[in-house]
Parts: sequence; structure tokens; C-alpha cells
Amino acid sequence: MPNAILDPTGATTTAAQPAALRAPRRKDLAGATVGLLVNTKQNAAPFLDEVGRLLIERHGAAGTMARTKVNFAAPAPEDLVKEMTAGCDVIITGIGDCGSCSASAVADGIAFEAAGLPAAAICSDAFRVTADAMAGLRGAPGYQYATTPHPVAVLTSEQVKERAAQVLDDVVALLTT
Amino acid sequence: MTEAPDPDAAQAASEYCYAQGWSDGLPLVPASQPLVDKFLAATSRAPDEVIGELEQVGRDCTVYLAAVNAAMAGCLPEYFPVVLAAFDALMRERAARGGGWQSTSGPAPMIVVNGPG
Repeated sequence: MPNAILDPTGATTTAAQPAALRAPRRKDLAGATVGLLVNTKQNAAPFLDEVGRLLIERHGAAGTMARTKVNFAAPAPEDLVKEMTAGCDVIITGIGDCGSCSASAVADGIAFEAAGLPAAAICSDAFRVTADAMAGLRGAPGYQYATTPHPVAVLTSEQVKERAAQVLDDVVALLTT
Repeated sequence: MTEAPDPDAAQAASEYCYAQGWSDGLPLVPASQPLVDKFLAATSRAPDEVIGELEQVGRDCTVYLAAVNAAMAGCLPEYFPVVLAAFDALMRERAARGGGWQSTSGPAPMIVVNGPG
């Protein structure tokens, strides 16, 4: 028998969890506190704020709790995930409009799902590849997230509101079905 | 006289690694345990010592994994301490640890080693 060829990838990684957990879905968003995890990308804050406002206005959400993730290129720190998990019923994270921030937005969504909260990550459609790759890496291949056309950073405040309205149905669907 | 190695086996091993998703298709040295042991013998650091962390993907690199990869890249076992030193340097470099690994702009660290010829 010749020697085995060794695997160079490091199969035992913290990311290679068996299968990522998916939080139980809500019937609707009535009375829900919506966590907005803003990643500091240009227009992320007004985009998520508008999504939150529309969820209150049109879907009966009770309110929002916005928090900012300092490093958009990395997943949210554990204490921030804990704080938002304790104070919110559902999570919206974004905007992923670059390689590292799309991947991290999806990683955050998966982390909140594991913590028991339905989450909707919002990425621009140009970064599906990195977002999907991170989902696979985090043990959640095929993880569903919402997309908005690329780019987001250059939009005017009025255009941001239009985009938020356009993605709203997808966000609600992600959180409730 | 040294017996010449089997070129077809070398090619098959390279293709095997590619099929596993372990390479980009360029030729490589398939890493065997006896070869990796030579690397590990070239350092006093423990095989399971973590020398690199990428928190974004939850992945760690150990001395052992670095040895496997160095072997595959054609590094000589006696050069392995330089590889480990390079890892130590990289982990002190914020740009190498941050989101750059998958950034839209695709940056990558480059290390130049200058040593005795």
C-alpha cells in the first residue's frame, strides 16, 4: 500500500459545523422588535432604517433596535450577537455590497439563526458568489438571503427608500416562512 | 543507481489533489506522512500549535497544516522554519487577517525572503 495523500485543508475547523441551525419562523411580524445590524457600508444605515420603518408601518412590527458592526469585513462580535438576540425578535443585517461584507452579512444571519432568531441578510446581487460561499463554509449551504440590485453605495436617499420598499416582501418572507 | 520515480503516478497524484479541491490545477507535490514528518522534525514547535487564525471563516492553521501545504508547494523540509516565521509575520499584519482575503479588490500579502545563497 502506498502512503495516503494528506488533506491540506484542515477539515477540523470551527466553521465546518455539521449543519447550521435555522430558527423557528414567526407567523407574522406583528409586535416584533426588529434588530437592524448595520455594517457601516455607505447607505446601509438609511436602507435598514427604511426597511425597519416599513415593517412597523405595514407589518405591525413594534419597533426597531439598531446596532452598528464596526468591522464590516468580519462577522459581528459575539457580545453584539448576544445583545441583539436578547433584545430582538428578528434580525435584518446588511448591506452586503462588497465581497467581504456580503460574506460577513450572511455569516451574521446564520449566527442569529443559530441563536434562535429568524434573520434576513440583504446583499447586492453582484455578490451572490461570496455570500453563497460563506453560507457553505458556515454549514448552511443554500442559505437564503435577500438581494437588491448592485450598486447601493451611490444611491440617493430617495433611491435608497425605493430599494428598501422593493426588497421588503423578500425580507418578510425570509423572516416568516 | 537511484530508481527513477513513476511519472504517471506523479501526474495521477496531482490530478487526484485537483479533484479533491486541494489545488488550482498547477503541479504539486502530494504530501505523505513521511514527508510531512520531515517538516515537523525541522521545528521544535508542536504540530497542533495554532499559527494562523481567520476569524471570518472560523478557520485555524496549525504547524501540521502549514507543513502539509509547504510540502505540497515544493518547499524543502529544512526551509520550514522560514515558513513558520512568515506565518508569524503575517498574523501581525492587519491587512492579512482582515477581510482582504475575499475583498472585491482581491489583495494578497507578498513575502520576499532574502537569505544566504
